[in-house]
Amino acid sequence: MSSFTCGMALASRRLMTPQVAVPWLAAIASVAAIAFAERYRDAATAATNSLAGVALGLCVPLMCYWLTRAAMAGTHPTEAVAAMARVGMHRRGLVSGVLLMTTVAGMVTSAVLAVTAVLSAGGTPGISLFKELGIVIGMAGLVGWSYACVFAAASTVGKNGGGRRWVLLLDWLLGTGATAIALPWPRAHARNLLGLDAVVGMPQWAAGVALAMLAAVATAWVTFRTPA
Amino acid sequence: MTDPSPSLLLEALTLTPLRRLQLALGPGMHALLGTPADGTDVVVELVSGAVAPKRGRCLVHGRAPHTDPAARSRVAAVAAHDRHPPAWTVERHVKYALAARDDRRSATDVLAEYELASYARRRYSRLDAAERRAVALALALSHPDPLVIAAFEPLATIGGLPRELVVERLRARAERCVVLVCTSRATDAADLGAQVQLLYKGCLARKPGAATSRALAPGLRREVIVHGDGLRDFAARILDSDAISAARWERAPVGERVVIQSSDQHSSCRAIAKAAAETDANIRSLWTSPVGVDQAHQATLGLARGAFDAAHAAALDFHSGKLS
Repeated sequence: MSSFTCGMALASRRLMTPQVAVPWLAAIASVAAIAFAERYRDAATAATNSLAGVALGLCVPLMCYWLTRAAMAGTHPTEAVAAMARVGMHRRGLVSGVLLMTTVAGMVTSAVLAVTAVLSAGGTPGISLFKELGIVIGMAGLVGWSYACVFAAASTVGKNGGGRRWVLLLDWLLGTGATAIALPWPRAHARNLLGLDAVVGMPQWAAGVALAMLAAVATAWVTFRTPA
Repeated sequence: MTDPSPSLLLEALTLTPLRRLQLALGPGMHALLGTPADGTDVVVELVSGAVAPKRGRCLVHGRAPHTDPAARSRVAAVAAHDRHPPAWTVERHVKYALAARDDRRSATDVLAEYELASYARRRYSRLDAAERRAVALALALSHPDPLVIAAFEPLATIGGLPRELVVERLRARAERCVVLVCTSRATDAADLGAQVQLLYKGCLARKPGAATSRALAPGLRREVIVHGDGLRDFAARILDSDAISAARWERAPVGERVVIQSSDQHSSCRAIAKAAAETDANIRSLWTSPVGVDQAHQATLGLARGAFDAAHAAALDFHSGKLS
């Protein structure tokens, strides 16, 4: 039984609780309701507006924050795996397992919310619904992955992983711009990916690369900050 | 040829409330007598590798448990409390812990060995603190090849674990590895037969060796409590003895008791035997009240003050002799 497997099991137990399930269902319900309302306001832009607004703009960051917090037991990653590290398991292995489960949960949540938004908004006129769903699932998965990793990296900072709250706030404040200050925030690249503001004039395809790089750097940061 | 390096080395260890704690221990039973305010819980956290020291080093056979999982797997620890316990069953928790140290036994067998089989299906995070400590203690005592066993209050609040079993297993382990018991109860240290060191406000204050009242608090007036029936005359008669400084008769929930104060335990025992023979006292039990950690700390301060006064007086004598 490796530390990595144990970390995955630890995170899945923490994620499969009513404290996670209730906000998850509430997020889906709010995305469906708002996308449905958008559809009656302007059917042509309903899908894009719902994705950029309530789905990827509001619910995905909040849910990824909440999932990371739950998987890390509301504390620092090292502290979250302390009970198993004490009996001799490798902390980095444990934290990597927890991180993997968190990112998978973040990606699935993000994809489910994006699909709910598109289906409730009735899709974009002139584009095949299946094709649109395929693109949206890929994009949302990437955004969810990036957010989960960034929140996990922020958990290593501050008392009881308090850095998470700061990242959520700063992403909200700084990620909506298109200047260089928006570069480290997933929101800015998610908006570029959806065809909204391009960060420092980056092409749309580069937003996907930027999100992947943010996730990779954040993963490396978590590993670096966790003792063996 | 034996290994000259200590099995457990705490070198200038600093982490609130510990202040440059220096300790080198070889195999055997050792007890740090103190309260959590003195840092006993932090010592266990440091030895188990759960936390890193702010300054100094904590080494188990030359390796730091905080950064070395292999060293950590050879340390069996019972911490004061388990922060963020996993939400799976006790059986699964024990299974993972056994896997971490390459122990092939089944979790059920280990729990059954320590009479904790009824815990197996319960959720680990829903156990109360005493039950969780019982599971941790069972895991620590079942370790097949530990280098160090560090236990916080191993004979107090241990759920359904039998005290005699814990004492017996810890004593057996002490023959092969370092057993470090952090406790605030001198009686527990005495029951385990541990070499006692006094921890006071994060520093090693004194090394009395044994957990006896004479060693822990020299000069303290000891109380002997006599329990039985018809002790009024006995209480009056025992005051005739010069060895007894005070005797207090009181009614107990069952029968009566006399609390006797004396400065010498042997003389007080002789006086009790004499007074009992001369009166119709029916003595059912006799015990000495244990020395508390506060009394041991006060004795430490008294000894330090005494040493300072003696040194000061000697220095004054030296200087006055020189001047004259």
